[in-house]
Amino acid sequence: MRFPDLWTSFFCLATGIFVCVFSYTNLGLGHLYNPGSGLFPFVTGSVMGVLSIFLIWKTLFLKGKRGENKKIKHGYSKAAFVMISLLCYGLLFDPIGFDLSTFMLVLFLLKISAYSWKKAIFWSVIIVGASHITFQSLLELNLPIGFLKMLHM
Amino acid sequence: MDTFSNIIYGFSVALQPTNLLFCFIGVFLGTLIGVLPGIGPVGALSILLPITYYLNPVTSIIMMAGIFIGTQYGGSTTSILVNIPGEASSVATCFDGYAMCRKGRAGPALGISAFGSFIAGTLSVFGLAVFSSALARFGLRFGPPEFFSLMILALTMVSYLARGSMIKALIMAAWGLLLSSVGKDLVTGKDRFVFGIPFFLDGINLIPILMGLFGISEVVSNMEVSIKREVFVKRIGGLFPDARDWKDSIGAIFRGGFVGFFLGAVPGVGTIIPTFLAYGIEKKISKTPERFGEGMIQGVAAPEAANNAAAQASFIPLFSLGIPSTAVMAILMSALMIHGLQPSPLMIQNNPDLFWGVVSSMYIGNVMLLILNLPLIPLWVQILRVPYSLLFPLILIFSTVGSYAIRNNVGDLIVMIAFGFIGYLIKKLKFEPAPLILAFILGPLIEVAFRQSLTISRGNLAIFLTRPMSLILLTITIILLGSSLLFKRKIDVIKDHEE
Repeated sequence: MRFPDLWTSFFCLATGIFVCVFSYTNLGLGHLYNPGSGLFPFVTGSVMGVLSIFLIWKTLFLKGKRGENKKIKHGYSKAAFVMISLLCYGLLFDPIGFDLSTFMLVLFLLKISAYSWKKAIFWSVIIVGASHITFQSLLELNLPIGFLKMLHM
Repeated sequence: MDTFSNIIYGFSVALQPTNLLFCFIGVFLGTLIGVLPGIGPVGALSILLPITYYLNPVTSIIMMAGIFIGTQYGGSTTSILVNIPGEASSVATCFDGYAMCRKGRAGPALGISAFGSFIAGTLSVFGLAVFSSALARFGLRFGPPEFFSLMILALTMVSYLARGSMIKALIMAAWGLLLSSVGKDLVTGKDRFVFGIPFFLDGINLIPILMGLFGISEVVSNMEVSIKREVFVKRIGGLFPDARDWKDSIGAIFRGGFVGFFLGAVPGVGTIIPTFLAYGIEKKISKTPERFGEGMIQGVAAPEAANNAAAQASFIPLFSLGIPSTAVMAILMSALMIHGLQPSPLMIQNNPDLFWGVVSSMYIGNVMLLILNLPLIPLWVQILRVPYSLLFPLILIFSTVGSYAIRNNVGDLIVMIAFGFIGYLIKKLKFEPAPLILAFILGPLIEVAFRQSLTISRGNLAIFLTRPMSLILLTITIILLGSSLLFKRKIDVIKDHEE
């Protein structure tokens, strides 16, 4: 991906066109004296399209800081791990419950921060315990308990 | 009632035990957040926004205002002691604050930063009381076309003052407007961009977007860099500046406060630009400009006064016109809307307890911060030693619980995570998230004003140009758009310096 700005602009242009078409065909623009549901999104989509075209033109033809486009700093493996773990957390949050999913998330995050297993487990238990007391016991929030529901029956 | 009676009334609201307690919690949390690098006021306020569900509107805004002004104070502590600004608005404080610390003058640097912030903050509170009421009276003359033009100008200003490309900032604003139109159209009852997913029928909730864009993405970005904090001093003494320090810095405090207040009230300016400008002015008028950066007390006093004054002045457009001028104000506006209050020129008139209570509580908050900041500095120094690797899981848990607790729906959690990823990506691609948030919040208001204007004029678009105030606002918008295309924005120079 040599020019991230270019790809981003194309994506925004495609979105702008899609929004305009969708607003026109599915929502209806109405009339200026009686605007329909689609008029405002249509105008916004058009503005996004025009701005994207301008950004494409600027990226391709205008002299300037091209270096900005060439390099995106690498070293985002840790960030990717956090995002993936968060996604898994979101998916497991309801089925296995807040406590267990949070314990797994914190343990994983501490492990990738180079904590030893012993320390990571210790801090995970402390953090999850404190969260449980704060959110479920003190604030009485209705957080999912997952399959541990069986134990409560 | 005149302004003086209103301020007295405000104090009677702010001094109620509950409000006083939450004001204290706010400034304490704010200072803590300001001290800790890695989570800014926007992220922190987003994460704490769900708490406001459980409080009444006056108390919740008092707490959030306390958090905001507290972060401005807290950020200076890390700038002076560690040379790492807790907040972007504390960057200018690093230049001379850390140099003073290295010369063994950490105490006076911290002291003048606290006193300077207090003096400027106090003057700003009175400025806020006077200017907001006056502007609100003026705003009462506005109809839908004027409001439409004003909101478009506010979005353009925020995009104009955003870091980097203005086109990218405007694209972000367009995304915000599009996202705000998801859900049922309240006028026609039609579903817009729902694609058969029931979760989107009520639209996308603001809180998960905020938490994702500002909280999660900040944590993820910080994972790429190691945040090392080496506290330079072991013991800090002599926090009270001596007579010479006062003589050197009192003028800088007033000048910084003046610059901060008037720039902070302009939509989009925020707290960063005034601090650099105040620092620059001090350097320019100094007889020894070459000594700036080597520990000049004016170099600490001016930016600290400016950032506090700007923080409080940024409340003016929100309270007087109902227009949030920064991302922080957008969050405060959403907190008001959660409680069914629509910020507008009528807000001061209809909710005097809210406006005057918040204004007075900001003064009380400034007093609390002065009392809190100086004796608690050893505690903040200890907190600075907590490793980030233990803090970030806590931030993630707070965000998760906050998002889920809105409607007990995992969908909100997924939205937050998705926006966390988007926020991370747009930072990498050098886009700014603030215009997206402002546009998302203003979107429904802009659409209503647009539709009402067209209905009033029977479909004549010229209504936006025939009403004088609307014409003036749109002309400024066009000038801003044109100038950004023709000239390199001066603001880029400041932003580059900040980096």
